[in-house]
Order: sequence, then C-alpha cells, then structure tokens
Amino acid sequence: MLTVEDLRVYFHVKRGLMGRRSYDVRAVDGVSFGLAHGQTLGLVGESGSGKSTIGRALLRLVGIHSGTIQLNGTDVRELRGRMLDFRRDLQAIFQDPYSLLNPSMIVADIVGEPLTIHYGLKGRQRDERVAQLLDQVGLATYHMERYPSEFSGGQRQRIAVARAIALEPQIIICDEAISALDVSTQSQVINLLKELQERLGLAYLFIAHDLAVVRHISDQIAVLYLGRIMEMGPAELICSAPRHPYTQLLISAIPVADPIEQKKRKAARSQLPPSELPSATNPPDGCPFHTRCPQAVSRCRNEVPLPRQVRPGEIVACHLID
Amino acid sequence: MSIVRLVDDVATYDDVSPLTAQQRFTRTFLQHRLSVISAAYLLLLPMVALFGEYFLVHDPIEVDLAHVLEGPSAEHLLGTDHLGRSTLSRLVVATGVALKAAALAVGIAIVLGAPLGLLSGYFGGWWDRTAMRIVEAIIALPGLLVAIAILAILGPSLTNAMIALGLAISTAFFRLMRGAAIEVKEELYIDAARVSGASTLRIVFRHVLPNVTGPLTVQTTLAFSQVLLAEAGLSFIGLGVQPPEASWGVMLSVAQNYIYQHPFMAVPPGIMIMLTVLAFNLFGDGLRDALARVDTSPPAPVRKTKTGRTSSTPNEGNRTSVLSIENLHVQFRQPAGEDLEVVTDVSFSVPAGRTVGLVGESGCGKSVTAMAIMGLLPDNGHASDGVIYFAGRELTSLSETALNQIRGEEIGMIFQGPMSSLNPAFTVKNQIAETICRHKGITWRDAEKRAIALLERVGIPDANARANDYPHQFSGGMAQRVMIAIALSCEPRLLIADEPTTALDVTIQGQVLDLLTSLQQERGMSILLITHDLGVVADMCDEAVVMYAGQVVEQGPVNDVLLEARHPYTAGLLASMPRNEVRSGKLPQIPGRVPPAWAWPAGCRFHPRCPHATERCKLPIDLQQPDPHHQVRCILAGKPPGGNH
Repeated sequence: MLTVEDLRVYFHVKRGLMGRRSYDVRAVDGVSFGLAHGQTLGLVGESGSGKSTIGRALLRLVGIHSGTIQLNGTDVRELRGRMLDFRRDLQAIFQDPYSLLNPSMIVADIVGEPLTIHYGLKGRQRDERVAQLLDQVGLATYHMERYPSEFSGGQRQRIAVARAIALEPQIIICDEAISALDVSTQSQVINLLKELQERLGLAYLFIAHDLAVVRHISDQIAVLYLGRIMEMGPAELICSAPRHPYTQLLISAIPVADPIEQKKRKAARSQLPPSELPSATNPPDGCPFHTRCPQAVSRCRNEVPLPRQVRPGEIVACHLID
Repeated sequence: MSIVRLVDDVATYDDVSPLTAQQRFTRTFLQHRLSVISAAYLLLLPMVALFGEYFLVHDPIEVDLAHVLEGPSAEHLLGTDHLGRSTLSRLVVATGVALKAAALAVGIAIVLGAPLGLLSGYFGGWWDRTAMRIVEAIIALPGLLVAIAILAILGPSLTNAMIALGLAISTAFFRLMRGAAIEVKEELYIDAARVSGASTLRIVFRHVLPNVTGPLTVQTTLAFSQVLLAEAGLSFIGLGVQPPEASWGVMLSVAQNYIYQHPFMAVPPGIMIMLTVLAFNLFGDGLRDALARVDTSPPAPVRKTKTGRTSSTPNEGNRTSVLSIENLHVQFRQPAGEDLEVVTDVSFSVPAGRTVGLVGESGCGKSVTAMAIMGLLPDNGHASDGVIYFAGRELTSLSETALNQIRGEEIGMIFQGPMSSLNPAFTVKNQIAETICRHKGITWRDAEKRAIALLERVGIPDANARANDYPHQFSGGMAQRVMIAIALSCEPRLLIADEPTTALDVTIQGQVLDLLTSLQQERGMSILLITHDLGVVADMCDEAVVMYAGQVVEQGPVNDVLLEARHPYTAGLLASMPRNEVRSGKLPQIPGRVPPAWAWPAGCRFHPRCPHATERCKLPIDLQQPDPHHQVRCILAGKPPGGNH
C-alpha cells in the first residue's frame, strides 16, 4: 500500500556571512521500506537517526531531496489537485500531548475540523460523528465542549487519536505518540491503538526511540542510525535475535526493572568503551556506526555496507554478517 | 487488570477540573477586585457619554458671565469655568469626545496592525523582513511627534490627530501579533491542521488568531489608556479638539490660564484623565491574569486533606543517614480557598554512600519533595509540617543564606534538561570554576585547574580544549556530564538527581548512570535519584521509595520492592512497563490515571484504580511493615506477594 524507495531528505544549513559556508545535512539518506494494509511498521532510532524526518516527509511537511513515495500506486510528488484525497488516507499523531491540540478550540471543533474540511459536515451532523469518534477512543460525549487544558496527557492523546481516525485513513503515522506519557497511561494508549487497528483495519507507521514499546505494537521493525536503515525485519526476530551490532547495543541498553538482571547488564555495559552519537552534520565515513561498534574492522571505516537479506524477510547493513 | 474497559475507565475516573474555561476566566478575573471596579467604571463611561446629556441642567457651551470661576455649589456641582460654563456639563460632553477619539485611534491601530502582523509572522521570508524594517522606522520616531507632524500638514483637528496616532500605535499591534504568530506556528497543532488538509487562511484565522486574542485584548486596553493621554496632550497644546468644544485636554489647557485665580478648575478634568487611564491599565492587568492559560488549574474552594499526624514507624539507622525526612507535608497556597496539600506525611532517609530511588509518575509529588529538601519550592509552596535533617541540621527552619551555603557545597543537584540548566553565555570551565570559587574560596586560577580535572574525570574527551567551549557545543550526553561536574565541584555529601537521564538517548543513558556509580564509589557520596523509570532504579539504587498521589505507598530495599512488590500500584507499574519480551495480546494496564491533588480520594488514594479494593480501603491507612525493612501502605500488605500480577 505504502512504498518508499531510496528516500533522501537533506536540510540546507547556512553558516557564515551571506551563507558562504553552507552545506547539506543528510537527515534521511537512502531509506526504503513498504507498509501493507492493517500492518504496523516500527521505526526505531536515537536522536539524529532521521526517524521523525521520515514521518514528516511522508506527510509532506518537509521537502524531499530525492526518492519516491507511493501510496496505493500514486507518487505523492505528482498529486497536485488531489492533495485532499491524499490527506484523507494519511493521518498523524504527534508526540507532545500539550502542544498537539489547539488550546483555544473545544474538543468538538478539534476532532470535527477534518470532517468540515473534507466532507463539509457542520452542526448536528458533525457533532454526532464527533460523539461516535470520542466513544471509539474511550471519551464521554460531555467532553465535547471542553478545552484541551482540561484534560490529562493520556486523555489529550486520545483526542488526537479521535481526530486522526475521523477521516477513516488507511495509514496513521504515530510520531513518538506515547513517549511523553506516564508508564501506566502508555500501555492504555498502546492498547487503544491496537484495538482500533483490529476494528478499522488501520496501518501504523510507529516512530519511537524505545524498542521495547515498539515491539509491542509492530509487525515489522526498521532500526535507523544517522539516516540509514541498519536492520529491518519481523519484530520478533529483530528483538529476540538481533543481527546488527547497533540493534544489539540498543536492546542491551534498555534498563529492566529487575535489579538482579540489571546488575548483570550493568556489568556487561561497563566493559564497553564510552562512545558518543556522531552528529548528523558530520557523519563518519564508511559504516555510520563504526565509531561506536565494538566489532568494527578496517573495512567498516572505508566502505558503506549495503543492506542485504540475511534471513527470510530480514535485511541487515553490516560487513560482519555473511 | 489486563482487561480493557476503556469507556468505563473514563466514566469512573474522569476527574478533569470541574470548571469550564469560561468559569475559570470569570473566577480569576473576579479575584482582582481593582480590575472589577475598573471594569464597572469603564462600562459606566459610555453610558455617561451617551445618556449623560439628557440629565444635564446646564448647556455645556452656554456662557454665563454672572457666574465665572466659581467653586462647587448646589447649582454647579463642580463649579464653573472662566466663561461661567458648568464644569460638570463640559466634563460629561468631554467624556464622549475622549471615548470616540480613543475608539477611532485604537480601531485604526488594530485593523491595520493586527492582520498584517499575523500574516507577516506566519509567512516570514522577505515580506516579513520588509514589513519589519518599515515598522522599525516608524517606532524610531515618538508616536506623539509623528502625530504632530501629520497635524502640521493636515491642520489641527481631532480626527486627523487620531488617525495619526492610530498609525503610530498600529506598530505595537503589528509587532505583538507577529511575535505571537511566530511562536504559535511552531506548535504541533499547526502541523496537525496541515495534515488534516486545512488551507493556509484557515490555519491563520482559525488556529493562530484565537491563540493570540489574549495578548491582543490586553494590548487593546493599554492602547486605550495611551491614546486618552495623547488626546489630552494634543488638545492641551491646541492641536486636537478646538474650543469651544469640550475635551479633557482643552479643559486642562484653559484651567492652566487661571491656575492662580481658581486652581480648582484643573481638578475635575485632571481626576477624570487619571481615573480613566488608571482604570484601563488595571482592567488590562486583570484580563491578562485571567486569560493566562493554566494547564491544570486547581479550583477553589479546596477540600483540605486531613490525614492527621499519622506518623510512620521511625526509620532505623537514622544516625548513619546523610538525609532523613520525617513526616514531611508540603502545601501550596491557592488564589482562593484553603491551602492545597501536595505531599502528605512523607518519611524516608538516604544512608551514607547509598543510592535511594524516589519513584512515581507525574503528579505523585516526587519532584516537589526534592524541591522541599533543597528549599527551592515556588513562592506559594511551603513545608507545612515535618522535618528534614541533613548532616545534623534541620533544613526547613534554616534561613535562605544558610541554605545557599548548603546547596551547591554540601548538596549537589542535577536536573533533567542539561541544556536548560547551563548558562549559554559562559564557557563550561567558567561555570564550574565559578561554583568552586564561591564555595571553596580558592584563587580563580586554581579553580580553573580543578574545573579541567573535573571535566576529565566525568569523561569529556580532550577536556583541556573543550573546557573553553560553550554549552551549545556539547551533545546532550556530554552536557549532562558537564552538569555532573558542576554538581560535584564542591564534593557534596549528597547528590540529588532529578530525572538525570530522561532526556538522553538510551545508549547514552547507561554511560551517564555508570559515571554516577563510579563517582559514588570513589567519593562515598549519597545519591537521591528521582525517576519514573523502574529500570533506572534497578540499575542504580540500593533502596526504592514509591510515591503515589503525594504519599509513600511502598519503600524498602530495591530487590524487595521490585521483585516482591506488595503494593498493587507498584505491581501495576511493573506489569505495565513495556519490556523486551514476546508480546501476547494486550499490555497489562492500570485503569484511570493519577488524580490531581484536589481530587485525591479519601482512604487509600489508590483504591479507585485498584483491582483488589474493598470497602475497608475507603478508610485511611498507615504504612504497614510486613518485613523489617519493607513498608507498604496497603491492607493486603501482609498477604504473600505476587497476587497482583
């Protein structure tokens, strides 16, 4: 349904007087993936990995340098007059539950706005549909007349979900949609998203930094590092038997709430040399991860590894895996 | 507990603020008594201007040479002027003139300035730059001067004066709206509107505009007072209203000529100008406060949570503790109503050389507790009861100067956002050396040497050179290392770390935690680690204190609390933590959410969300002690653990 091929997004940075020292930052550097009906693809990575930029590029909120994005066979760059149809199919939920909703609009207007824009629904008709939507995300009808400031973080995220499903989209891009929520609220929203997926046949592009969270909702996972995919494949495979050294590092870094197990991890972790995430403005040559990779060899420093299929449905970009 | 009851949850636990936005606005505004009086006065003015004439006994321009320059009398309540005209009558007519003039100028200013500023800010680019240069040029000239220049060309008349003033003041509206639009357009809900297909005009007028009406309203009231003064000034020097028409400025101007014979003549118009300008300003103040958005505004009146002095079992080993908190209560003053209690009867201690984790979700009171320890509570908060012992001193009764000595020197602090805690204007070496200098009284040169050594110790590569860098030149992880260096610069006995790794990437988080651990082993300091992440607690802590709704619900050695959780809340938190394991169906979840402080239930504060709740849970409950070191605030505490999973 959604196919992304060799997507590149560059940001132009101007430095110095009159922009004489300007250069491009390669936020997304050749990323390809696909997303099928009713499926969830998790995009995981740390800051600077380009995961959010991919989402924003799909939503046409940032420009694309090169590559193609196809939705149901149509290239989104050639939409022209059919932008509204595209918007209907692709919706989004963003991270921050506080700046996500317009504070000066009541809930009925926030959730109902897409309905007015796309279907011209107004008044009673619109409110009836809004009430249905709120019911689907577990909010009561009397919330319609209230302002976002009257809700908790989790409730605001539910309002955002109601707005996103208002147009019955095929895909919802969830950009760190639950990262700002408390643990107990996080699982409520994950469960809600899963329930809606089953009921409405939605596909999610679930962007997050926390691999443990992503595992619970994704069918496929792509692990990103400095704008490239390091490893992509079935969620269970990636999380239980990761092949790429970066995925392995990422998984071992998640602290577990078991003091005995965590003490072991801590001991293993202290063996690793300290390392820092390279900046995206000045990425290393060769494999982007080689500066932090405990197994790096000289080839990693010079040659960019290409993604290769290593197990059925799984690709890894690493020289060490043959 | 893993069963999803979405609608039920919300219906049962929905305790959003019981006030609608309008009610809150009205309430806050009504609390400003002066603003309310001003509003009433300002409402009265147009009434006087419209209908006052019908009640006047004397014509405002009727000359009566028999009664010139008289003081107040029954016939002329406010006296008469040099032509025997009634001051009261002229004042009433002048009110209408003043209001009309002000409305004209402010109207022009808003109609011209506001939309242009909004569009300019939203679109940016060359159009914005050009507009700003023009505005700056206008601002460079005083508004009154511009008005006088225009009047010199068009000839003196009130309308011309007001058009000129309106033009001058429109720059203020332009800049206000531009600034607001630039701020608002970065908000995610603007992106959300674009994603849903909203057109640019719709975004500007439906999404941006309503969010800037607050500052716009306030600016409008202030502009009114500004214009009234300017009108009086212009009329006073003869460029505005022309005699025999009355205006406050004209009346003052005339009174000036007779200031020795009849000084009272200047008083009524003077008072009118003063009162009206004051009223507009006070009204604006009230509006500003009432429009200010409060995210979770606690309503008044507030039910005070009375738990009595349920003192918990005294902590063992207080003698060896660096920090020991006993029965701490923290309350916040409300604009109206009783004080709101946000921390209730919290007791725990941090033993020497150990790490204690203070755990809970947002709104549980963990950060407020930390602030209370450091004496950094906001102005409206105070420790209403209980004691905090640090190294033999009681902190809640110490003076600010004494606390200042302890903070930084004996208690180090690190916070969540390293970037916002560092001063962007100074090099990191400067910031560390300054702390050392202030507390240790050594020379700047020695302090700098120590600063570099510290940066090396916290793992900044090439510390000697990087010491001269500014905070923005460091990555998040490196900036947090710098923060740690500052916190440790005076070798504190206790380090309070409030979510030190929450803003960091997970692979960097481990490194920072390892750094803290190794520094602790090296120096033997104690750490109070405040976090929401039970994984971080497992990684770092020797003991854990779990807070819920302002109370300690469970505390003990970290293995006991995390592996044999006895409080249903702790168990629920542990169960709902997403972990890296094979997924099966729904994630376990705790229904509902943490209630805000004004809605804490009586009895056990967790009981409305608890799967094991009984009638007994509606009665107050003290901390129970099922094991010697393990305390739990639950009637089921004595039962074997594990039943909650």
